[in-house]
Amino acid sequence: MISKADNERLCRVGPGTPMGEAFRRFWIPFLLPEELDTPDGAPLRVRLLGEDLIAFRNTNGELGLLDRYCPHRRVDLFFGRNEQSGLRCPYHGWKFTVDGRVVEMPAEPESTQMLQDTRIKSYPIMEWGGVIWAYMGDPAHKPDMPPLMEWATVPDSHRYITKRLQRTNYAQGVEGGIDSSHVGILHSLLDPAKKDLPFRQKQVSPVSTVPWLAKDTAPKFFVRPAEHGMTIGARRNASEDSYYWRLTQFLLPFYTMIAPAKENGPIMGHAWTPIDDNNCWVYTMTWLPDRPLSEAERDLGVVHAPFKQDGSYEPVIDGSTDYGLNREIQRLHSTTGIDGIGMQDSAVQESMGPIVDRSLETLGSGDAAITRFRKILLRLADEVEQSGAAVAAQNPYWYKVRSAGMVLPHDTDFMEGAAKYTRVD
Amino acid sequence: MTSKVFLLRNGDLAEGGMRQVCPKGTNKELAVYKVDGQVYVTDDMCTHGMVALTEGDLEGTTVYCPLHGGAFDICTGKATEKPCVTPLTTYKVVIEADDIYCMYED
Repeated sequence: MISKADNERLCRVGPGTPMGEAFRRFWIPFLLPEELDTPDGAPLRVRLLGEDLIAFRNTNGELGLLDRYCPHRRVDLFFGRNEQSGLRCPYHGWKFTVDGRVVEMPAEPESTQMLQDTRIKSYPIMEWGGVIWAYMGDPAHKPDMPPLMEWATVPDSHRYITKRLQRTNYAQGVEGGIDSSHVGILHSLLDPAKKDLPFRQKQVSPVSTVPWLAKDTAPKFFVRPAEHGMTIGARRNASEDSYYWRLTQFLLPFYTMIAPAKENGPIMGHAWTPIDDNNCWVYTMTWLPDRPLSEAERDLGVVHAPFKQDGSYEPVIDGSTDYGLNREIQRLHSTTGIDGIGMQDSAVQESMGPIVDRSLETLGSGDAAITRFRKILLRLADEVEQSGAAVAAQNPYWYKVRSAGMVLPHDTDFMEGAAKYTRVD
Repeated sequence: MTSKVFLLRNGDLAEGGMRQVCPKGTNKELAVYKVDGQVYVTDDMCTHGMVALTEGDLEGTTVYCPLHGGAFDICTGKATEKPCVTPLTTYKVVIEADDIYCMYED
């Protein structure tokens, strides 16, 4: 558990907060290209790290990310006109470029000095790697490029990326992603024929595409620091003198990568981009390093949860219907009675409240990775507060890693033995 | 049978730091600490919450478990802060040139 003060420090990401300033040192993904694909298309309302913004693609195809409200009289620029290389406020016609300059003030004298003096807040924005990124921090610290995560560097045909809204703080999402001890319980199916047996005995062993997963159901977890964040190793017995290791990567500030479910199969990753203190975007990426994904491979584990097609990316089923909880299905067929891994995760994480009070927890031996995650993030906030810089943001090449499963001899340190499997060239 | 097992090189352990080592031929995780130039070795598992103490904090010769804030003296293995009660196993350290070993009983 962490103190109330540390919990606030971990979770609050608005302007001026320590963690907010730390996240602002990174390029962060916040839109899918499909949301802004038309030049001179409708401007898009954006809320990111607690700031209300407007995004648009201008006549020349360039992206802009500006303050939501006109610097004149604070009208919502959603109502603006996107045309002729700019966004024009409808109230008095002030026109803005993608880089935040004001180029027209129709109701002011033509030679007004106000045109030079006035700016609207604007943030660098780029489309790259299958998503759209923003940099909201001090321009002096802007990294040359976003982190070089593999899902972003492979060709478009090799990846599949979706997003959905989660109504919690980002940290609860990340903690779910790095917590291996819940996987065999929360997401478990049950055998209805064994309904009267104790819980652990009626669980259906997952159909294992990886042989060692079925044989050893009580892996031991090891957490190791890494330049990009941390590596979590789950160790299972493979043979007399070898272990099967499955590695999960956590990458700063809010990304994970999970080992493939099948040998040489698609790798999955997530990002939990904060919208504000109480909401985040859950990005799910599936990718293959060296060939295109087939249609079937896009979502082998039903992790990409169904979302509304109206531009809101809200999940189709949510807390208002208790995530579609069916008690009969819960009684006989699954731990939760809720359909789909993504929805099961959202249900438990949202049920904690938008910001869970970590001062009320009782952690157990399965929570080592969560404990380390909080330390790493709090240390990131310290680093930026004290030095002004986030070293990881300045080293996009540190992110050239992937998660993997591999068999290693007993005597091998798993970080050393895994290096050739987890390095991305 | 007690024998000398290699842990790590002196140069791989920073002053005031601690590292988990899984020595060859054992199925154990050990914690190796260096405080004021002295090296100490204990089991790397809190006797209370059963997580790695190397995930916690080292302050002087006291190691704090990250789960519930309990603590141990790394010199003697004694539990010094609740909820930890059961002492930690310590190991005799042997240093030869740049190599750190401990005496380990199978």
